This record gives sequence, structure tokens and C-alpha cells, in this order.
Amino acid sequence: MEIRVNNEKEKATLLVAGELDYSNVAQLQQEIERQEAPLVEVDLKDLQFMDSSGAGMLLSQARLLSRQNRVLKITHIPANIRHDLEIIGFFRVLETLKGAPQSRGE
Amino acid sequence: MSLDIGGKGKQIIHAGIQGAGCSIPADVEGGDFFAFIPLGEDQLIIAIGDVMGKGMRAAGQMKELCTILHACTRKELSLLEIINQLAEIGGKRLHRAGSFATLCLISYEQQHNCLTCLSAGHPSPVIFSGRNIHVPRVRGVALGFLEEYQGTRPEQVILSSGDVVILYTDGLLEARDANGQNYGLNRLKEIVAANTCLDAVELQEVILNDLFTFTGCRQQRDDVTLVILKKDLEKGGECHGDQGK
Repeated sequence: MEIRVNNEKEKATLLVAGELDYSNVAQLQQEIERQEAPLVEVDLKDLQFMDSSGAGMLLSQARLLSRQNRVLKITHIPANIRHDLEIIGFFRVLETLKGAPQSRGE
Repeated sequence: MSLDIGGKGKQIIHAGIQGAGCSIPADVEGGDFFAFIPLGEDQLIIAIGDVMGKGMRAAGQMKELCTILHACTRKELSLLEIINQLAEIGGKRLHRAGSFATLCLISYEQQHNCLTCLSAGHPSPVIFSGRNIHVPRVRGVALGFLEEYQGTRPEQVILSSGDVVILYTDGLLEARDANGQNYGLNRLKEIVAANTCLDAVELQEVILNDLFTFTGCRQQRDDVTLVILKKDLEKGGECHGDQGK
């Protein structure tokens, strides 16, 4: 996996290429945690594969940023990865974060 | 040819259903699971699931979820009530651990030949009936993501003699060959459609042989779990597969 970071004033963009799985998920998590911008975009245009560890980490980070009144935006998801994310209900969870960012009482 | 799946296989014949399942972890232990739970003489509950991640941590969470599942089935709850309890109890534990699990639950009642299914973030079962392939439209959010089960209502399908139901985890479809191509759902459907005459155990062996031929027995990236259900052929029942035994 390769991560390229593009920092603007209010937004950090992380371009992720290759494969995101159990073996390297911590690397992307650390990179997201390192960002301080109110909007962190994870661009998956060049991602070829993501396993459940990747999906779980992205949702955890989305929740974490939401609690900080910041936003994790996941963009350009390839069709095959989007299909897998739809099955597990990934986007339904993101919708709940938009509606009630702190609804789980954490 | 007999496959060595390291004692990870289980078989059952109950309520007019032949069941064969196996789970092959990518590591020493995995987070995939499946279960055959007979209820009385007429009903069989089948579950398949996948806990996030791999190894000992995922395996521990998987065992907890299985314990809750078995406890729920002893209470004679409906499928929807079972998944609600799993979401409430198991889901909360998974969430606290920063994890989640997908689950497909099936109940078969012999009296009405009725198969009922539900999904919490898991791929739907694939049902082969004659030359028809049906994929129930059951969808739901994986356990651990939200406080309660959110998904479609259960879907019911009437099974005929010889019908085959396939359940799997994504590790099977995402297994790769030397060129990086995935095994995929289409190849799985083709191999099953050509072999629906086989019994559940034989069909499982044919699919696993095809999978290992495809991957060249390369190191698995993810746990692979496969469950086959076959409604027993009654006397004189029609065999629909293209390839006989």
C-alpha cells in the first residue's frame, strides 16, 4: 500500500493506492490520526483491494473525527470495493454519523 | 480424491437437509464460523459469519458470538429475534472491541419445505433450483456497527427436492490465482450449477478442488468458509445438474 498526503488549509487528502488489509491497516490509521485539518479525505481511486479490517478501521476513524466535529470523507471508491462495503452496511453507518455524530454516547 | 481440510469440516443430515460445511483459516485460527443447529425433528438453523480481522483475536470474538447464537436458539426465538439479540449482546461487545461481524442466518422447516433467511452484512445465500438460480434480497448492517439490527425483513423460499443452497464468506470469492484474478461468484455459480446432482459433501469437495486448482494452493489471504445445503431427493426426484455422479 502507498499513501500520498496532500495538505491544504482546511483539508487533508490521503491518496491510497494498492491493497489495504489486516497487514497494513495500522499504517493508514496512523496517517489519518496524524492529520489536523477539519476535513480529512481518503481518496481510494487507486485502491485495488480492501478487507474487513480496512472497512472497520475507516468507520472507527469516521466516528472518531465525528466526535471531534471533524469529517472523514471517503471518495472515489472503486466499484468492486463499493459493492463489498454496501453488503456490510458501511454507508448506512456513515449516514448515521452525519445525522447524529455522537449518538452512541462515547 | 479426498481433501485434507484439517478437521475443519462438519456434516449433518437433519429435517430432510444434507449439510456440509468447512472453514479453512488463513492463519492458525480464523474469524470465520458456521454452525448447524438442529431444533426438534423438523427444524434446522444454519449460520455463517465472518468476524473482522484474522488470528486469535478474531477467533475469540467468533467463539463468543457462537455461544450467544446457541443460547438464543435454545429460547425458541424467531430468526429476526435471534439476530436482534445477537446485535444487541454480541454487537455491543464487538463494538467495544472496535470490531464487527457479518452473519447470515437461515432456518429450514421440513413441514413446509420453507427456508427463511436473514443477513447482517453477509453475502446472501445462493439457491440452485433446477436451472434457476435465486439470490434472496436480504440485506442488513453488520453486527457491531449499530446498536440494533437494521436490515430487511426475513425472506422465505420454498425448497424442492434436490435444491442446493450455497453459503460462503468473502475469502472464497476473493481467493486469487497466479495472475491476481479473483475466484469470484460467477465461477462458484458455474461449478455448482454443473454439479447439483452431487450430494452436499461431494459438492463441497468439487468446489474446494476447483478453488485450490484455481489458486494453485498459494497461501490464503483470508479465511475461507463454505457451507452447502441440499434438500434430500425424494424417491423418483428429478436431478437437474448437467453433470451426473
